[in-house]
Amino acid sequence: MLRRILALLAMLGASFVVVIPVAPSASAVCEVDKVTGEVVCDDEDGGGNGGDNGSGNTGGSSTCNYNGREIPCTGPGGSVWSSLHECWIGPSAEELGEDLVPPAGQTKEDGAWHVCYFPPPGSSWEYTWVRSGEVGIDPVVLAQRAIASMDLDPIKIGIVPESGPNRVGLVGLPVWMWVDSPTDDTFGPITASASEGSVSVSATAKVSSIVWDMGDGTIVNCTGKGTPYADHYGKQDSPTCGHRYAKMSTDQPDGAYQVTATSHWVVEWTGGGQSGTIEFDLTTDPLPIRIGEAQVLTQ
Amino acid sequence: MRKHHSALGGVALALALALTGCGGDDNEPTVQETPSQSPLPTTPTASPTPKTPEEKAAAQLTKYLEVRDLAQRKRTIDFKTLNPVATGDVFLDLQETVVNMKMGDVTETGSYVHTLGEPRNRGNSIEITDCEDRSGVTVKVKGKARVPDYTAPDGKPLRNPAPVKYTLVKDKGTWKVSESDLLWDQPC
Repeated sequence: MLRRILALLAMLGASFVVVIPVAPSASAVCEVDKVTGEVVCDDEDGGGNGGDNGSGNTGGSSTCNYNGREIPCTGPGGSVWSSLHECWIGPSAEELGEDLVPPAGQTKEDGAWHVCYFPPPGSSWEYTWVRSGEVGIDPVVLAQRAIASMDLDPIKIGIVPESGPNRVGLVGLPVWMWVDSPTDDTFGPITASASEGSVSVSATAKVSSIVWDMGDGTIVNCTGKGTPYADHYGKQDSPTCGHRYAKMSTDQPDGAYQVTATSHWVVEWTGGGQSGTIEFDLTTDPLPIRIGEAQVLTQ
Repeated sequence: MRKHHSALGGVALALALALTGCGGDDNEPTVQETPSQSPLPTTPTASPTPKTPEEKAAAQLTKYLEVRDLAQRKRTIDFKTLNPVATGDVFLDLQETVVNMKMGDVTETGSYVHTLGEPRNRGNSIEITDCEDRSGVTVKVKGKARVPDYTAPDGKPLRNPAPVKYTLVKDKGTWKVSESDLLWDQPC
């Protein structure tokens, strides 16, 4: 079911790459679709690759409670959990081609008969009367809307040696990396809310870590903004986020290491009687950094 | 190997069921031993009550397949029979399948024949591959038979029989079917 939930979430259409903790697997699980007659295979690795410039899949998760255990708030076929009915509310009887009479005292304007999808164990395969507005929008969707309204961006890279045609760093000397001019929408925290009907969700996003790909095969994981370099630091190592190149960049494409910074966003959201976490990555465009050796440069 | 007819299978099946002691307590006799195939790790004269985890899991899978096939034919679910044998994805998927069949006006008539392979005990789970023969099953969409009934991802008709790998997990002390995976590109 998880893969179905992921597929549903992937269709929701916000503009972030979301990293969802799914056990890595190269396998696919296949089953027949009774309606189309096609064998459908779902990749179990979930596709949470992360790491582009803010485009790609979206997703997230929320958990609801049932008999003291956590279950996904989204069930089979995108159905929504109802604490009142203790099942995921599926399609209406009308959608299944059945014309059922409303219960006593109710009209078709007051609600509709719906399928109930049960987490194991199930109780009764009978339609459930759901009053209009009783099962609303999935709060995860609202959380994603709130995130979209934040208009988050990758960080602005701060790095010494600087990037530029006349800038060259030296092999073995410290490289300093930091978040240049951090703002709410590049580093957080930032809070936004979204609502529909009676359901309102508040979400707070912040960057938990930044993964620096130095272009030489080295990945540096920094938990903070880093420390901006100043001349008085001389040849000291960065106290918070740094690197040293061991080789010149002359054999790299364009003679430079391509440095990227991927900020890992963590969004805590609450609302609609639920709470959850959505995580995703935003990656900068590559920044070319040239590295040479002192004796070469002085020749 | 253990062969299993999931629909009303006649007197011979009922007799076989009685002899093997499998098939649960509902009214549909379903289990048949096939002496020509390799047996499960018990002797043919063993007690009809499954003893090893592998035997118990195989018996549970057999019951699940009966419940599943009946649910698909009737397009409704009897939770009284499903709850003891299924959990996890399989539990949810069957509900979704039944709903989708109703929404798409898809019907299934006839009987599957299930032939279970040797259980593989993974410790926390047991895997059993079922060689599912659907020669006796007709799928209709809006009253019209669908030919071929199913199509593989390579665009060809899905082979028949086709292997389906089931994973069973312990749930409150009972082995229950939790996951299924149609191995569409492998022969039985």
